[in-house]
Amino acid sequence: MKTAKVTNIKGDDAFKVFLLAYNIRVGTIFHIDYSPQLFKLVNLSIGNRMLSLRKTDFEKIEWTYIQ
Amino acid sequence: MDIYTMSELVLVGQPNAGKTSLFNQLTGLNQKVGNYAGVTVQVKTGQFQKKKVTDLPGLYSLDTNSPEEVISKNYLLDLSPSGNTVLFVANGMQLEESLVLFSQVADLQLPSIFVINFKDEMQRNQLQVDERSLQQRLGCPVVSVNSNNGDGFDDLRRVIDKWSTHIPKAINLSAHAEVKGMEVDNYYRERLQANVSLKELETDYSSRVKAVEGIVRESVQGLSGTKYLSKTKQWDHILLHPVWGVLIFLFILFLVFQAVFSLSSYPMDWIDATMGFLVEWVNNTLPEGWFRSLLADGIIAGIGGVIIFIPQIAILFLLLGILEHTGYLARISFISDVFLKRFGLSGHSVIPLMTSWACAIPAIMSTRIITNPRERLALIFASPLMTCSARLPVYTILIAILFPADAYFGAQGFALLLLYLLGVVATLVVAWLVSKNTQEEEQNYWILELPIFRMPNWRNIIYSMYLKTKSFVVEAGKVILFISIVLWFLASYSPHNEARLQELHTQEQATAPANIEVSQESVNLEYSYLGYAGKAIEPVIRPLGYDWKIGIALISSFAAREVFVGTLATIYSIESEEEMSIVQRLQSERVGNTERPRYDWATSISLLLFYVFALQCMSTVAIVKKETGTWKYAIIQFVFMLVLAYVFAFGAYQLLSF
Repeated sequence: MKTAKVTNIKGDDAFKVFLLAYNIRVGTIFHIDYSPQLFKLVNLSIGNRMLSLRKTDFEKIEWTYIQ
Repeated sequence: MDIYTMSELVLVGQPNAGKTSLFNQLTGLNQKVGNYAGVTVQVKTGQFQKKKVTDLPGLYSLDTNSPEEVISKNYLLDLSPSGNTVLFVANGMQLEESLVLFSQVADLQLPSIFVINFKDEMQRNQLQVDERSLQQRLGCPVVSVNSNNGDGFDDLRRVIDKWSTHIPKAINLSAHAEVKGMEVDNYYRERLQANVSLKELETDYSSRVKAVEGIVRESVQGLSGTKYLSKTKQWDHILLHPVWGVLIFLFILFLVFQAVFSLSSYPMDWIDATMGFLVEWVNNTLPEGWFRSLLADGIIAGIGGVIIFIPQIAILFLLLGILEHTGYLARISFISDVFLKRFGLSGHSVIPLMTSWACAIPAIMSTRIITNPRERLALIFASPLMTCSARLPVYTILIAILFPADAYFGAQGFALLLLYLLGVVATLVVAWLVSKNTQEEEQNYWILELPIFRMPNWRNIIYSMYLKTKSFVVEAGKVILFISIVLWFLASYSPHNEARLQELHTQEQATAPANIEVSQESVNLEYSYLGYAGKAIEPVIRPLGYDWKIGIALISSFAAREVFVGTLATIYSIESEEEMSIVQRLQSERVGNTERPRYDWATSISLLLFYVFALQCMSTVAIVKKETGTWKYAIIQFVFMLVLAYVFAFGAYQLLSF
């Protein structure tokens, strides 16, 4: 399981406000979970919550591995 | 006391925190409870100890703008602190996230009780909450419960009785307050209704997270490093696998439809036998006359035609409930998103689409969870094409005629699956057409919460299944009872007197082939008021392979599809004196005075297709008008689906009878 940290979020303010409600912001630590490419979704877990984002949206999030 | 003048307990919390289960435990008024984000899309009410209890849709934050979250936000903003209490429900395993939302609710300064749910999961994961410390930090009562089995509810009831007037400490109010001497003006409410900058929101959010981290550090032990998600993640490797995941999904779907047929066959036989016994008993006990005829041929035949489908509908609701409660439905959303996207929908559409299998009305209402207006309109327009439970009685009868139970193993289940798939295909094509022809209003973002896998709460599932089935039977039953009585009257009385009817019988017998015996009852029906009405529309429906009797059933079922079977049951039981099941009656029906079965392949397939596409449900028309705010879409939808049904039924009949 890969642990990562959000370093920057690209996209407009509406997108950033949208992510904020799910606690995705600069500094958020998350795990990248099993995400088969076929479904074009990326699974993340933040704390004890598992979320799926569209790959196109996830690509607007810049992050770096911390573990 | 009127429920609307009572003091109120308002359940607030993030999606999937168990609010609805808690609501059920408190009120005994069960409703839709789902292990899926965004199941509660309506504001539901009940009663607990002379207090009104309101279950609000789940929300992640007071700063988001999805339609269902706005319902909850506005409800809270309008709530008076006098006599009302917020029952904030937190998922115990997601305490930090819940506390950030609670910090926003607390700043509204409403009396609150902080309820920590899923006590059992917390114990299993060795997560400990110092309730006294948390209580001091929040400034309001804290109670731990397990909404699934009622553990902790005695404490909760006691707290509601004695401690429901505590206004929590404002957690981040200082950022939105102005001190005027001894008074503090709370601008937070105003801020929530205004457009604020991203910077302001981020600053507010960061300070809330910081405050919550402090609270958690002091009051909670063991939250970090739990293996809470590990089992679910292991299962997801299989259930979300591009090959196994899709195969499992298709297999589960097939099992559901096979179960609807095979598990229900025994109770359906019992109900059929009981209704037959009842008709016989009425005929043997009551004196001959109009009342006996009304009871046996009108009411019992009509109502019996629907009651018999209770087992199938209940099993369908049960199985959908299990998929929902275990958390698997969210995985179906995950698997289907990439596919649904091509049709202008998303994985979120799975909830309304699968709800449509039960009924289009809650499905259309549940489209409120869709934030994209274009997707929502496409879904409202297309979801009535999914096979609802009201179509099930019609399908069951016609499939039983096409494939007798002992003919081919699994043929009936497979045919039903094909009809459901046809409904899905029609839904997707129509959704794509609507989506293509509607302008995108704004940028749309999409996120899906994957709940952990849980054992279903059987009490909730079974009670919910009972209420939904009851609602189907009661709602449909009222319409069917009324229509059965009207039909019985129209079918039992004629503009001709008895002598003339006997004369007509003699004439028909004389013109019929030698091996065909024309009964007096069928002549009476043909020359009844109902017979004349059916014959008036016969020219329109004849190209579809229908006669005037089917025409009557079609007209009467425009109010609700399920009336079709009840109507046929009434018509054929008036026509015949023999005790037969509805399937036997339909199988024995002939075209005019010939040997050709009325319900042959061509006509049966044509009828099935008509019911796949036609929007024969006045309640759906009404709800579409309500949800879209205009008659325009409701009328376009009704006419479009009717034309579609006619074209497909016509095509099928002409092709198969060629």
